[in-house]
Formats: sequence, structure tokens, C-alpha cells
Amino acid sequence: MPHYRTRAINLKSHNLGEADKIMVMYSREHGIIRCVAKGVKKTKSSLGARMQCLTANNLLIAKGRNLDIVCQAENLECFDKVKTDLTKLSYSLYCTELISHFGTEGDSNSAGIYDLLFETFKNISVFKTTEEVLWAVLRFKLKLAEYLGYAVELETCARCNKTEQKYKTYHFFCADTGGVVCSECFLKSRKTFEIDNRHIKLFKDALNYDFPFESEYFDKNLLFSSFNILKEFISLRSDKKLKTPAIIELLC
Amino acid sequence: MTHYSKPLARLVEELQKLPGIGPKSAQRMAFYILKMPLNEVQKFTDAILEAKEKIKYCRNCFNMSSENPCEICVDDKRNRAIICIVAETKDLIALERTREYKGSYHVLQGLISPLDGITPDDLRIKELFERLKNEDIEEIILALNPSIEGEATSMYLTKLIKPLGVKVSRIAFGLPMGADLEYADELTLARALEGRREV
Ligand SMILES: [Zn+2]
Ligand SMILES: [Zn+2]
Repeated sequence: MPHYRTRAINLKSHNLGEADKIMVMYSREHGIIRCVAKGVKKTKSSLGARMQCLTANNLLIAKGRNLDIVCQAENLECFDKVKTDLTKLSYSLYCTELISHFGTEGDSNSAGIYDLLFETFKNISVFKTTEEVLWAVLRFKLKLAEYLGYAVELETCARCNKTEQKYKTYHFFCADTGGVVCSECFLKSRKTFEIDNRHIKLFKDALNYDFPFESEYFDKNLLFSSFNILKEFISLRSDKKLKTPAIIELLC
Repeated sequence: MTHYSKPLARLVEELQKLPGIGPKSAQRMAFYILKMPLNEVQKFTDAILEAKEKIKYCRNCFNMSSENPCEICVDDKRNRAIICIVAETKDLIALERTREYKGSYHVLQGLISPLDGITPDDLRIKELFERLKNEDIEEIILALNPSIEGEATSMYLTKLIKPLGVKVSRIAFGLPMGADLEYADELTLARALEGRREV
């Protein structure tokens, strides 16, 4: 049987028979992959712990007739700190859901998306405050949107492509068109949010830095409103309704 | 399915609704049933119907039982000040097999699962808090799987129960009996180390 090696993060699993699981994973080399992990529900299985969700492994996979089979898993990172904090876990599962919705088999940007997810989980695990966790998730959403080909427009009006004439900065973000809109286009736009230059600055910095380096970024209202704007922006681009945002509101 | 006669097709279809049963196994079972003597098949269907009719959820702990409240909830020898929280009745049965535990139970009937959209409202959590309010509970033991869903549920319950001044503990996770330390995976080993106790 031909084999291949890949690095992958476990996103979801489904039970298969008595002791097996079908794993849905995001791999650095092939995007979304689905594999059978045999015997993982047995307490003595060494594969068991490695097949837990939100765990990154270096895998040896055998090509199967229907589904491929996980032969070996060498743990790269188990993001334990993510799993022992309810806020961190909820936001991480939100990122996981986005990857399972938007990721595809054989993504051309799979390496970038894998690295982004890995970095996000790693950062969420070391971060101490909710503000930092929100920053990591905002950065994740902005960069994921870039990889998927609909980067957020922050320089010129997303509708008319011109710069704002009346004001010094943009005052509206349109989740539908996916960027800032000028005061004239605002009247014709749907799903708009009021913003100010702090949001625009935050979006730009979150794309470039993995840490909220300025004290002004430790502002829960600013972070939550930014999170909600991008949540709407992303949800509008998903063909299925996302389930984790409602849970975040319940648990965090 | 077109090669089956209608009643056979229906039987195969129904059997396929069982967990872990694919078309191949369903077909094998259907043919086996057809070869069974009629009175055996009758006993089989009676057992299914009787179980379905008589087994209900205990109104106190939500364990599956033919009694309501269940045998465990009415047993005077059991310590009602301790509640062990499990996800499903099958986990309760597994714990009962140890003969070690003498307290009462509460079956959540599932786990919080954000990716499947299962929220605390879908589980028997409201009912658990009713018990905490009305009964004299001293300790809660969380016996939930060490999965993401088990972790989320444990953390959520701990966050809500701790402020009530009730002791909350969680069963230890570590090496299975008879395992070899050398071959244990690093995650399990880390957990076992974390959950170590003084001897
Ligand atoms: Zn415009
Ligand atoms: Zn009961």
C-alpha cells in the first residue's frame, strides 16, 4: 500500500463502528483530509490521545481504497492550555469551525492556512487575557480571509473604490461588500457597522502583528465590536450557518 | 436496493438505522433473521418493544430504568450527598461495575459540543441545579470523557457549581492498568503526572 507523510491538525471526529474514528484534519500538504484512525476508542490505544481534536501531529498515512488510514502519529503540539480554559477553548473551536467550513481538499494555500491555525492555537495557549485571545482570533479571521481570496478592504471604499471625501476617516464597515465604505455608499449598503479609525488601525495591525502591542488595544469594547464585525463578514461568506458563535456567547 | 423484494428491503433499511451498521452488515442481519424460527423472531421483537415501553428516564437522575425514580435513587444504602456526573447511562453502568462507588448519579444525556451546536440547554443541567438547590449535596464528582466535549462540559459545570460552595472533583486520567510506561504516549503521561497523588 502506498504511504504518505503529512503534518495535520485534528478538527473533528466521527465514530466508526465499535472502536474506530473517522478523523477530519487540516493538513499542511493537502488541505482537508479524512482518514480512519483504528482502535482509538480503546483505552490502550496509543493513537487515542493524539487523535483528540485540536492536536497537531506528524502523520504517516496509508492510501486506502475508500478512506486513507492513519498508521503512525507523532505528536507535534497538543495545545493543552487551550483545552483547560473555557474561553480559550470556545474561541479555538470557532477557528476550527471556520477551517472546516472554508478549507477544501487540496487547498492551494494549505501550507499558509495550516501555519495560521497552528500559530493561532499556539498563541491562544500562551496568552493570559481575554483581550489577547480576541486579538489572536481577529488576526486569524483577517488572514484566513486573505488566503481565501477575499481580503478585507481597508484603504478605499469597497463599493466605489474612491477615498472618503467628506471625512478624514471611514465611519462605516460593510460586512456584505467586505470593507470600509464611504459616507455616500453607506446609504446604499446593507449589513453595515459603525466604525472609527481605531477599528481600521486595529485591523491593519492585527494583520501584521501576532500580539496586541499597544495598550489602546486592551479595550474589550473595541475588540468585541471588531470581533462581531468580522464574524458577520465571515458568516456571510459561509454557505452553512456557523454553530460556534452562539456557544461563545453562552460559555464565555 | 431494487434487487430486494419489498419487505426485505424495508428490513434492511430499518437495520441500517442502528449505529455502526452499514448496508453490508444490515443485509447479513436481515438474512439471518429470515432464517430464524418464527418464535425466536417473536421473542426478539417482543424484547425490543418491552424495553422501549418499560424503560424510562428516572425523573431524579435521568438514568435509564424501568423504575421511576430508579433503583439507585431509592437505595437507602447509597450516599445521596455525593453526585457523580456522567454523560450517558452506559458510563453509569461502567462505573457501577467497579462496585467502588456508593453515591448517587446524574446523567447529563450528552456533552456540550460547540461544533455540533449542542449547548448546555440541550442537556440535563437545569435539572442538576434543581437538585443542588433542593438536596443537601456535599460533593460533585465529574466522570466525563477526556475529550474536547468532556473538557468543555467539566469546565462549564465547575464554573457554575464552585460558587455554590459545593466540593467539585474530577476523576483522574492516566495510564490504563497493565500498561507499560515506556510505551505510553506523552499526552496521557503528562496527565498522569499532573494527577499524581501523595502516597
Ligand atoms: Zn463609496
Ligand atoms: Zn435515578
